[in-house]
Amino acid sequence: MSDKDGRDRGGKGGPTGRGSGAGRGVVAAARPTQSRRGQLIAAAAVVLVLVVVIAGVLYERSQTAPVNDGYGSAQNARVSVGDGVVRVGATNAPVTLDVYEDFLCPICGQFEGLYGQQVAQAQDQGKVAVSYHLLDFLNPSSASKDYSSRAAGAALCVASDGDGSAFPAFHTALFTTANQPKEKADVDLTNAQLASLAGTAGASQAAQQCIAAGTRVSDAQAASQSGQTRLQSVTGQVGTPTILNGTTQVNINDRSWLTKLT
Amino acid sequence: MWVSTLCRLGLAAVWLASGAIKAADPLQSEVAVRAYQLLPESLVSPVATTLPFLEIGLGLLLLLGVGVRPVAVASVALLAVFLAGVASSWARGLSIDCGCFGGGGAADVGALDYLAEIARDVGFVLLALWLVARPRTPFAVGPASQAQPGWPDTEPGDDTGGGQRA
Repeated sequence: MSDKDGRDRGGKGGPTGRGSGAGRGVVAAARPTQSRRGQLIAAAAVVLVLVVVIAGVLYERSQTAPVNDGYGSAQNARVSVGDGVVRVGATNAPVTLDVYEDFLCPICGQFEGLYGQQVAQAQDQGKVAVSYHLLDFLNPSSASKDYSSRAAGAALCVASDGDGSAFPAFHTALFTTANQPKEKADVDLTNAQLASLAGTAGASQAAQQCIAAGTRVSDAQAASQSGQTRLQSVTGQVGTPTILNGTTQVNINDRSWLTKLT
Repeated sequence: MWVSTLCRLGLAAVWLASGAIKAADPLQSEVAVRAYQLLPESLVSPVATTLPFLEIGLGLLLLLGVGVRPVAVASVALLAVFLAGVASSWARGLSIDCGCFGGGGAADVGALDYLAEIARDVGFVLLALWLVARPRTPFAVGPASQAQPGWPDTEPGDDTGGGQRA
């Protein structure tokens, strides 16, 4: 290696800077201005990359902060159940969305965390109604192998109360990271735990008993089947969360998707 | 020198692609980070929003050829964290997609999938290690990352410390 050094340096014919010892010194001494300029350009490049990174992180944070944070879940929306589909919002709402969710689906939890409060206010104001299609195709990924069906059945029990705030609050609670079971995990929520969460959300005693007994689970399973069939026919696949406006799929990565619809 | 160029541009492409895919789908990225079950909930979101741009930053620096050696060292360190995360998921019996290039969260993965993820990351580590040893390439912006025309990349000027006391 050292003989190569000697040869190549000799080849450069550089009498300058030889005594400096460090290779960098050789270059610097031979071409001082160029090297200085190079370092300035390099420093500018580093600063530029830093700016890109920091701006990117700040932008990403602003994009992942909950929209309309502080509103909470819907307070006085009209809640009704038909064929195992829960509809929240005024009957004459100008826009009715179909939301396909599975209570075990993590991205559905993300979706609710990000946009749930904005949707809630639009429901309360009568601008938007949402038909919640509660699917259970993720059952196999739950610890009990039927969590999605039981949670959907529990939601039907609560929604059947017709209370304007209990179903929205229960629906929100099931999707929080604190409550939502993880896929492929060892535990999920029992019917008793679901009933207790419903009670906290303001569900009636009857609704809680309905959950504890699993009374509406088979209804939820039937509704999930028809929901999956419809989702398959409209989008060509079964994936959650999927939000349909009529037969048009809404792009929920666009943060202003709801304001564009209302 | 040309091997270093390939490594530099290859690793840049890896970082830029993996960072851009994650940055484009922040919801999925958060799910992917959470699935490792290694971070407290309060750190999941900050990590998920920062990591993609850290990767993009490393990719840009490699693409420009600025501070290639320190960037390569940082790449090795970040890849080591990823490797540890994947290995620990496997060891804890989790069944999750690594989310290395998008995706992530619970998935049907077996030993072969984990081995493939680890092998891929080890490959990236090798690219980075080569750049740690031989950071100099043509068309690099940073003076310490530039190959000198006609000089082999083991030249004293490459800051390896080798051969400088000739």
